[in-house]
Amino acid sequence: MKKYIILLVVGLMLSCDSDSTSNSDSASNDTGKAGSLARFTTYNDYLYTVDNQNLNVFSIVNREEPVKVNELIIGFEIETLFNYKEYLYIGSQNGMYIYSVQNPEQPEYLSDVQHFTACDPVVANATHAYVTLHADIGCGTTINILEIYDVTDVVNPVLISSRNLTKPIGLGLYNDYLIVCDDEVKIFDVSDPENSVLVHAINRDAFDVIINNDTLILIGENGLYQYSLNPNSIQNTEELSTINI
Amino acid sequence: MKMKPFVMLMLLCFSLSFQSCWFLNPEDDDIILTQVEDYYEPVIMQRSNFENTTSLQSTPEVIVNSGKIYVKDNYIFVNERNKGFHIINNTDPSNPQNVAFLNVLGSSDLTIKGESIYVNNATDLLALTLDPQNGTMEITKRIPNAFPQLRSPFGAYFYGIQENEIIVDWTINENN
Repeated sequence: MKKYIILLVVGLMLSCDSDSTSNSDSASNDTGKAGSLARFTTYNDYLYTVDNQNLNVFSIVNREEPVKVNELIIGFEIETLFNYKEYLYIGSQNGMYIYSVQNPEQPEYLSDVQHFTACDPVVANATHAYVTLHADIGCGTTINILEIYDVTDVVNPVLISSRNLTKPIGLGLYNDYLIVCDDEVKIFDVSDPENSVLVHAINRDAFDVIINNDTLILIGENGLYQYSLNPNSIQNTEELSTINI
Repeated sequence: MKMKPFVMLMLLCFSLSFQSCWFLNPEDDDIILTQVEDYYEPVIMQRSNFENTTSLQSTPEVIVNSGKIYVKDNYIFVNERNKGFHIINNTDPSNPQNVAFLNVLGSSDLTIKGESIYVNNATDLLALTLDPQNGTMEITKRIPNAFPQLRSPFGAYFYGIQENEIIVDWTINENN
């Protein structure tokens, strides 16, 4: 009997140990950064992907040999996937869905917001989710909006701001600033999310953005552009390089 | 009465939006499908050939049809839509160097955990490791049919696909 108890205790210790490593390595630098149009993301030992209708879950406990462990139907025309802590934000042409991956192999639906048919990437932080809507609904009528939701209560996202833009698509957060690929790359101060204020613009045509520390990386049809960002002086963006496409 | 000009305009816009199929198949009822089938056609491969197409080439390719980007450490990965990923050495962001190309047919997305890179290879999920400096790449696992077949740029499905066939791209029909 004693042997079993010892085994059990050792087993528990080992499982705690593996938990703590997986938590600490999620904080370390073993994943990179994707743009807001991504359909793949990882959270701890799991890879999540979206296709047209489904959220797919792969265990990557063994990094080199992923195993598909679940597939959930989310909706139609799923386009983007964004992870913040234990939440997945899923952008579709019809709306935004929020799932919890607290139970990583069984993502749980928390809430959704529905809107007009539009392309729809999402980024989020602890309190807010930012969504761009861009659609040509025919006859020259277009929907081009930046929506900001309060997601403090993730089961009940509340739309707190909606503003017109020109043709917004990819977006990313940099401290209190939201950087949006529009007709130009626009930087909004969102320290008061209900009243976002344009503070700077970079005259580039890009469709997605990655903010990597203080470097802004933009991808467009005509180039890969990099700028340095200064958190204390946001207007002071300095072009670092361009690879023409 | 007030609605009439608006309705007429709507109808005009609607019919204009399909002008590319006016003269293609006038006898066909399903104009949307006709337009898609005539405009884009799927590039289809047998699975046995398809599974041998993923490779790392140590000569860079010019970026033509830029897709999504991913950044890890000193590298930027730039998707060439449905073709693979340009690997950019970004050790000096003032002077990024396009150094290699990872051929992955039907790809759009890439993410990295540790040393493992996960990409969509048309219908399959690939896990691979690579060393751009030494030009080595190893596929550590392929999960076939993890994803649906690629849809056309108009979002249409192609229904004529056989079990061992994979759609790796869609091209503009030259006869159009």
